[in-house]
Amino acid sequence: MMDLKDLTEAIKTGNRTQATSLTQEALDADLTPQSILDAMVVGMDEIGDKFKRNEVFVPEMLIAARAMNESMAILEPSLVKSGYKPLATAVIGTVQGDLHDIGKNLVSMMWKGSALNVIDLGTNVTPDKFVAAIKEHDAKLVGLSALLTTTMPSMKATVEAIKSEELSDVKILIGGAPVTQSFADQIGADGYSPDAASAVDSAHQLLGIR
Amino acid sequence: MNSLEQLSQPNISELDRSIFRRIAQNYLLNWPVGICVVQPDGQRLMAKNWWAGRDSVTHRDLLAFNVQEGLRFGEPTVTYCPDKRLYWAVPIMQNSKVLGGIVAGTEEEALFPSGMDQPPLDLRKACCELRLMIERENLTNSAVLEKHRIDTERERERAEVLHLLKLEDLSGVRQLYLREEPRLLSTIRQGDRSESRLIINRILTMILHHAGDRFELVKSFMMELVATICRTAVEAGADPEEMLGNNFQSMTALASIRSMEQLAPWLHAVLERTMDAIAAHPDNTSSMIITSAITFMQQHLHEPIGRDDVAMAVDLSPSHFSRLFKHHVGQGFNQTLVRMRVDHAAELLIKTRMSIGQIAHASGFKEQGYFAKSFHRLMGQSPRSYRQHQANCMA
Ligand code: B1M
Repeated sequence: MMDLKDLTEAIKTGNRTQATSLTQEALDADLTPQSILDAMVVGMDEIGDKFKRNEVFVPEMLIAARAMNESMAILEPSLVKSGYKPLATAVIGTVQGDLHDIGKNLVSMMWKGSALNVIDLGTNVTPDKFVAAIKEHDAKLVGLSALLTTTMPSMKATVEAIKSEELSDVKILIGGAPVTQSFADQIGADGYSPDAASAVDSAHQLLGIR
Repeated sequence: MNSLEQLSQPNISELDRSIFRRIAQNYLLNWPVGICVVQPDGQRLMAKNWWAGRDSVTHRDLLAFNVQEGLRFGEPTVTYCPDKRLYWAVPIMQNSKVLGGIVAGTEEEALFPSGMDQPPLDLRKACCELRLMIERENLTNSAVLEKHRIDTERERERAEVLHLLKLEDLSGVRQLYLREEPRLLSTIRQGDRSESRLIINRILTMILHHAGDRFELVKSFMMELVATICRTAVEAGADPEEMLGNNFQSMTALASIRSMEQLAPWLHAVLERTMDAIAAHPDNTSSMIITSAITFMQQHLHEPIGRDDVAMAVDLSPSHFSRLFKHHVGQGFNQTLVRMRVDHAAELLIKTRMSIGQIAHASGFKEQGYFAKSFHRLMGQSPRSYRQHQANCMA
């Protein structure tokens, strides 16, 4: 059986050629997408620990993140079920001032896989852009991601902007490493999810699906 | 004063070309990069070793964004551009106004000059050097940048605590507080400012995280914390009266605090004042530590304790403990410990009818031979004849 440690290593060193081909190999070997993803996340966590200890700097994180994003793109088709009629449209993005997108991309992928039509606004998204996208796509769910403690206020500002528009019953779900349930309560978000898998359950719950 | 500061309406296009040339020349000596000056909107003004052609709008936005990030984090931070270049920047400032920035950039390929599996260019150093150069030319607001760097570091520590908290799922803010408090008090006693600051940040983060918006609850914790810090400072040698004054001042300031944001600087000020008060009496502090080390040694003489155990008991690093011990006691740790063991044995020889073997054991000597040798060296006779001699004297 194939060893996913090599994939973890490839993500860690930012070797995207190897990371993408190992992802494909893992899929071909019928490993579950979740186990493949977990191996990638371990790589990211390890690079994060090294950054914490000043052993690597931003460029190493950047290339690791790119290797991860490209490998995730290979996984996407096997996660996203085709032929489904989307149950609702969701808008997702990383809040203003924040460039971290891996967690958000994961949630986005999982949502697509659970019959949601997902509009991904990318990173560094202003409250205005979120509001405009909700209106344009008549979205019933918004996902906000923040990875910096210093962009948590942007999350609050975004929630306020959405609420002040009185957009008909759009639900707001938030997540990201520094975000917690108590923060969600504090800023008036409708839900919080600690990880991408539970973000699917939360989304369905908020939308009243199932 | 730099050339920009002499202008009534400062503008980056007035930046002296010779200053830029000097910065560029020096920087390019060390780093294989391009460098340019941009306006706040990212428009390029002067450049050296830069890529040919005009910058697109997105490119300009990116350069402008980089300057903003350099200001926000107080240190240039590397961002990736889809054209496979990496950029980092330092804002050019007059007082708090950003007039533009100096941006450096390199091709992604240049990042690993000797191959992907070799260490990449040290861009952390490259970022820091760029800032220092620009600070030396007095083209930026160093004080603002420094403050932002400190804030960034504090936020980073806060983020890490939050990550940990999410993993650990510890319940109850009091339990968390009680876990951190002994560590804080011991770093305060040791006069370790940076470690104390770190722990204070951890405590604050935990309390704020758990207390949510119950601000009064947070304040009550703060009062408790400050009282404990003051007590510890007095134990550690600070002047009691001065600490009483400090305590009063801190509590008065706390009363007027209305928001979570004001709490961190307030608590840090409390800490700094406390550390200053302890540092004003350094000898009190360390002699207290050594006194408690000796008490610990006396209480554990019968056990096989060593230097590291005692250092740990008084919360000092072994090497620091050794130095401090020698300074205060006048002889090394091991020598003192053997002396104490022998004194204890001598007392037992006189006061009890225990056998020599039992006494050796009770005084912490693992081997009787070593006990006999040490005893003889320090007392000038063997344990047996010492017992005999003392008995004769009493009689
Ligand atoms: C909508 O509903 C939901 C629901 C769940 C949601 C959700 C939304 N969003 C996320 N989730 C949840 O689901 C996912 C798992 O299933 C999870 O997502 P995560 O994103 O948490 O997890 C991912 C799967 C894997 N994890 C990650 O992708 C993040 C890893 C770490 C190492 C990290 C990376 C990779 C990067 N970084 Co940065 N980075 C760190 C990170 C350390 C860490 N341990 O988090 C962190 C977050 N970074 C930090 C810092 C300081 C910075 N980073 C910066 C930059 C970067 C890179 C761009 C280089 C890169 C990101 C690249 C990219 N394309 O995303 C800078 C800021 C730039 C900016 N303006 O945003 C810079 C300031 C560094 C600098 N000096 O330049 C720290 C934050 C400090 C703080 N104040 O909060 C940090 C904790 C590292 C550290 N220990 O210092 C959950 O949180």
